[in-house]
Amino acid sequence: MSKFSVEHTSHKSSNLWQRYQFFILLIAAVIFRQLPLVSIPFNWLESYFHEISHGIAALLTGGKVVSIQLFANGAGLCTTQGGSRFAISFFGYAGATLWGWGIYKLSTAHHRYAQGFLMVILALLLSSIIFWGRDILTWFILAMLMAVFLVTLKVKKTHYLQKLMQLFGLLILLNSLSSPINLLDGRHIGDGAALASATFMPEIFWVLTWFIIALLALYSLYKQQK
Amino acid sequence: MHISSTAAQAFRFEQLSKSTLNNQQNSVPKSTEFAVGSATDKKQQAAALKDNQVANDLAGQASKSLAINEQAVALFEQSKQSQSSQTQFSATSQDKPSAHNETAVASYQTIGNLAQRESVQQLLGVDLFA
Repeated sequence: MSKFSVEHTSHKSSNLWQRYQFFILLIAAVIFRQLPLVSIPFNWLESYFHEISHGIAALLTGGKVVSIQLFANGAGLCTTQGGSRFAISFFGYAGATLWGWGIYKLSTAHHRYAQGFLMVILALLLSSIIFWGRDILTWFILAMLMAVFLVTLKVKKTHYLQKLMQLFGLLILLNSLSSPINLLDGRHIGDGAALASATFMPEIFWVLTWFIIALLALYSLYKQQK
Repeated sequence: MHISSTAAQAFRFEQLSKSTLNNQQNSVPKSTEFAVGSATDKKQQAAALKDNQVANDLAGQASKSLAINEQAVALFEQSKQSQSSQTQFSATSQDKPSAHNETAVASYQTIGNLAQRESVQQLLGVDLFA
């Protein structure tokens, strides 16, 4: 094989990667979510961003976070006191979408900014351990998430750092896209039911709203890649 | 399997020793009657005493074999107890609810917890978001 043909092939593959990297990462995220053991820390990641969004909404609307609980199966619970119940309920799924979108978006920024954003997430995780974690399992899960972000922060090459952050962002976004659908189980519990009781709008309206927000976020990232 | 055969042996041993003891008991009164009936004759007294001694020895042997029997009975009872405990265990495993029933109980308890959660929320003034 001549030098020209090797260069031509590598150029072609890098072109393909650049053109379809959003879809390749999306498929990778879908596969990661299906893998039995590998998916566990990612479930915790998604769950954490959902619960911390409830917490931040409570803090921003004048309430306070009493505790955050995370469970091994990827479930979570945020206990708040005061604040706007509407905002707190709404920002569970909407906030997680924003986190996923933000992590992906900032990954393409300068290496320093990406690292700065990771530091913010690490600080948030540390404050969650200190102020809001109340049980060993939650502390353990939060510590594991901190370890994941610390490893990501240590990545020297900008390209790999970007791809890792993009993968995390897409995993969180995919969860925000699929999780609200689980609320439509006829049991009238969860954030959708809380919003339905507070606003007299049916639960399905809120589920669709969260679904559309997540879809728009995904579309925005796809457009940015183009 | 091993326990039941040991128990059967012990049972057989017990039967044997009982029959031996009966024979000995029958022989002892005979000698006593003989001794009381001829108390004046020295030779007869000596013979009676000898017979008594033999009877006592036999009684002692019988009581020894009875002591072994008690051990065997204790072993037998012990094995019976272990057998009954095994039966109880198997009965408990039979009583274990099926996976379907366990799910039903878990769902029922979840509903109970939700009600409990609401009461705690009202009591403490906190909101829970899952």
